Amino acid sequence: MNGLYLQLHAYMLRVAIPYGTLSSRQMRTLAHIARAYDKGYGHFTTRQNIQYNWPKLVDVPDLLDELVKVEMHALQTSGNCIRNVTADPYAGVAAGEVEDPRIYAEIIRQWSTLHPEFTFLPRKFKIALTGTDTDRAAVKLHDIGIAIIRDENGAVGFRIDVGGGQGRTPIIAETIRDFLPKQDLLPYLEAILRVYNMLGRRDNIYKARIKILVQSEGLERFTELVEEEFTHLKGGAVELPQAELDRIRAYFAAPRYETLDNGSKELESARQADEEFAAWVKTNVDTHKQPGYAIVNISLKPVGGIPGDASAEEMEAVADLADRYSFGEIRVTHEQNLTLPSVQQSELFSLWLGLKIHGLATANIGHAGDIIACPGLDYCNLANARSIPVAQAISRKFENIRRQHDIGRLTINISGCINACGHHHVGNIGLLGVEKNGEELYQITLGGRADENAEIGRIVGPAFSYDDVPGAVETVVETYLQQREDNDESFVDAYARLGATPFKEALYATR
Amino acid sequence: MTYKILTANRLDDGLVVYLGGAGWTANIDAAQQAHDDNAAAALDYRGKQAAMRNEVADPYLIDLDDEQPVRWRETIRANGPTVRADLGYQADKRIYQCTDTTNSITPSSANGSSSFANRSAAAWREKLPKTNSSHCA
Repeated sequence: MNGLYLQLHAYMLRVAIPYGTLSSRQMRTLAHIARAYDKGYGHFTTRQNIQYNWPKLVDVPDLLDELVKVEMHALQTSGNCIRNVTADPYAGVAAGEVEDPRIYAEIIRQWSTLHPEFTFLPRKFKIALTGTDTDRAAVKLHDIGIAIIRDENGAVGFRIDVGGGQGRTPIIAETIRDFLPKQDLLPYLEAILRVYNMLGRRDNIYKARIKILVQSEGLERFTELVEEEFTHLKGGAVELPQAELDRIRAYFAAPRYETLDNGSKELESARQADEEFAAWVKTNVDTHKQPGYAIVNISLKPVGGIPGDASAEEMEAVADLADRYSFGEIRVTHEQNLTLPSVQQSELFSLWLGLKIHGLATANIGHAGDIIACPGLDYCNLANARSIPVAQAISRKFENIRRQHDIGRLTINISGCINACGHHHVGNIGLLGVEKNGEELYQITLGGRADENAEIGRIVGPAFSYDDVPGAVETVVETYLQQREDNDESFVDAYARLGATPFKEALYATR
Repeated sequence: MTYKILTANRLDDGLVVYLGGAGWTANIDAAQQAHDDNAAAALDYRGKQAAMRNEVADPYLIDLDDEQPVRWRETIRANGPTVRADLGYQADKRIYQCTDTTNSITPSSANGSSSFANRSAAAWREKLPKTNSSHCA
């Protein structure tokens, strides 16, 4: 279950970052490992993990020892087990959050790690959690997605979605339980896993994920099977005792926030004085639950950069800035960026200056330059085509930040093969690299989204060549700009209104 | 003319190697060539034996044509990531050099040598005229 893979050039080690939460101390260790055991950098992934691309097999035991010193490991990052649990990167600080999903993610992590019954599942199994209505964890695209909700009486529990996923058969998860009481979380998950373990296909790797089982049985029948199993597990050994819940909750206690008001004078005057800073605040800073604080997103997508890559020096800089401005806390997002969860609004300008020194202040979160890309054929043994240089070329086409802000929110996702690690199915604009007669070609899908209104994008037409695909993306964006109702209509909303026709006409008019 | 060579990854460090006359080598130019099925089968057998001895992992035959790997994947394996000229064998072979302040990468000029590095640079040039890197060493 240690995620050590032989890739194109060398071994790759995937290190687990449970629910995307890191301390500055852990980040410094990741930087040290990058320098001592790799080639000075790491790659943050779409599952909130980090991958090293060049470790020597003979060094891996020492590398794992280094991780253990900061309570980290590489378990649950490969194999047909329950993989590293992911969660909203804003967990614990999001405005409007029902409860911190990391509490339950940690409970699931402890339950699932080395779980003897679920170590040889038909296929890998991914679980994601969110605690707010706004889904930043793509829960509908996981084998099990968990949303923490309140029922009509105000009781806190979970909505359980099942059977989502991407890969060659992208499916949006369906809700199997509208409301599950808190104490039943593990028994219910165990019931789902047990049904999957018994009935999931093991004869065909492409049909082995739980999404295929849910589709073949039908949600109604699958639900019956799970509920039947649940009757045997409810109230049993893995029911959550309140004392244990409280113990784990204590690990995620809020830091000692100062009592502050929103609307810092320092912030407002800096925004007035510095247009570049104001643009960064607009895209990279989000609302915090605590007055006077803000959530800061650090883009790992500089213009022309490699999405998700961070050098050892950049990791150390983020660790230092986290210590100075954000209680030493860092989060990794599934969009391959980093987050400082709790920054005083009055300190945003000085933080921004600190980020700028290290080239980490690109104001493009959620915009055209914030491209999600898998490692693709530059590194990956499974890939058919390159992803990273396509992302770089598109990034350069949209290098003007003002233009990006004018375009508005837009997700561009690139995968180098059908396994969809770049989540191309759910990009507003998705690119899938394929190989045909030795040539790299890219299928374009439009209209996908990974949020609470998750949608699978649709293929717009014949694929484009490596050289032509960045221009094709620009054509799609220009078509949107010409056809949107107003500046407030996002790309994905415009696509939903217009359908594929105008984009198809623009893309294939001259072919 | 198409022929086959045997490639694998070295077990201890994972780096790409090719089976040459004197054993495993990082130099694709030194790989032993199989021009018929019997010679290919012999290479394949030696690869399997080497894997059993824990020298290499995942040995397999690849096609070369006009001294170039037929598949793009193998060209990348032989050189390194196309987005990081400072990594992989290409870094040592110096087939790229940074030429301007925007870090755009262009293959270094051919020096008349027939080494794989320069032949490979021609292949890169053909396939990657617009590829850039922000990590030029």
